[in-house]
Amino acid sequence: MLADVAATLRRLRDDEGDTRALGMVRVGFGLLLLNEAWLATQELRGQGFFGDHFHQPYLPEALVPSAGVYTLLLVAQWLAALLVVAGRRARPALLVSAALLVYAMLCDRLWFHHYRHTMAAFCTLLAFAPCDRHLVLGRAADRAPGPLWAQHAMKLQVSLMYLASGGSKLLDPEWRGGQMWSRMMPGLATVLPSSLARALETPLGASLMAKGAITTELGLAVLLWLPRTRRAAIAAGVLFHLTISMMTPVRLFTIEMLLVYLLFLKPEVTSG
Amino acid sequence: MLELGARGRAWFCALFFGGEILLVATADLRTDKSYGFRMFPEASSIRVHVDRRLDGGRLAPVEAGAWQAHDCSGGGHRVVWRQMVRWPAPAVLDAPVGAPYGVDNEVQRTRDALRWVADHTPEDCETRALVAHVERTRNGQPLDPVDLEVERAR
Repeated sequence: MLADVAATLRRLRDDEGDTRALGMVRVGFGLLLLNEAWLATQELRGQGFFGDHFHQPYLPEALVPSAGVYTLLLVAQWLAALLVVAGRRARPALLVSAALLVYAMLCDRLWFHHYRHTMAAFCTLLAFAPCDRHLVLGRAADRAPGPLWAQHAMKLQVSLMYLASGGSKLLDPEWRGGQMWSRMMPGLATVLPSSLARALETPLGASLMAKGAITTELGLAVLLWLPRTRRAAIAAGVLFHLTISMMTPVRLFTIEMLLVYLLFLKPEVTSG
Repeated sequence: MLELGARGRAWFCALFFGGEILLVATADLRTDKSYGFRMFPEASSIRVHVDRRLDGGRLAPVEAGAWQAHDCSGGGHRVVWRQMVRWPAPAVLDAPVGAPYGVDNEVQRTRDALRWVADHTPEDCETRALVAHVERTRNGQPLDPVDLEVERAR
């Protein structure tokens, strides 16, 4: 058993293959990083420098940037995002982007969002993957197989997130019992037939939906890895994230997860 | 630097996922459960009312999110809560404010916001402390209210 695990880990570490999907994921995250830079710029222009208002730094106040330094960091954020999209020096730019995201969240806890943490984690891992061989501005694609260990690490990160999210809900009696879910229903009620929406708003319906969400998350953590269940798991995961996206304002997180799902697909799918 | 050999890959993954697992395991130590992937932990809200404690202990309510203060020279100044405290902190007073990362986190934000406002209103020479009464609702169920008081440095 232990030998099997060790052999699997070695295979994931040394695996090589097609890198087209990594190029697609890089462009997707580059666009999301551009969106982040745009959001931060809009906030700076509209509401002013965050340090002039109430903010909650994890870091000592002395390490929080001044308005001038923050503006320079924003410029760096724009440049790094553009490089990621273009594919030129994209991997160092991904690391810089991730570092800037983390630094911003450490300077102000009010900036924390799960999707930003997720974005920083995936950008860090993507920086170590050969994501700059396809879809590069002004350069032909390099179709040679590349190391896929970082791609597998991104998939592992997906499983870790599902386990953490599903596990915390499972351990929370109120979540498990549906109290939280019943408060989320109004978002879904607008797209469901009214009789079904009413049924899901009952305590029994909310409880079943909560348990279904927990089962889905914990199941996806495992089933995405198994060849026999992968296709069904991807379909279930896409449906799950789109449903959540209709109920809550987490569209950026949905986009991130759907992008990373590309890495679970067989190379024949992503190469068209 | 980004092309790692076999040993480097193993070390990198051990550090990266070790850090992620540590963050997940310690999420309960942070009121916002940040970095723990606790998606949609609660459907909660709070309602914050702020009073100013003046000389002699008298309380003066902050109405419509603002108050008229006098500096130490007697000059008048209008102090507006919302200009200092912005969403997703409780920017609006006397109205329900969503607590997407949990009610405990929103109470902590309120306490920290009181501290920040107390420290950044030098034009107010009258207020001795800011007092907040926080009504809390977790997943639709009302909880006992919380009272906070932050003294101003003199």
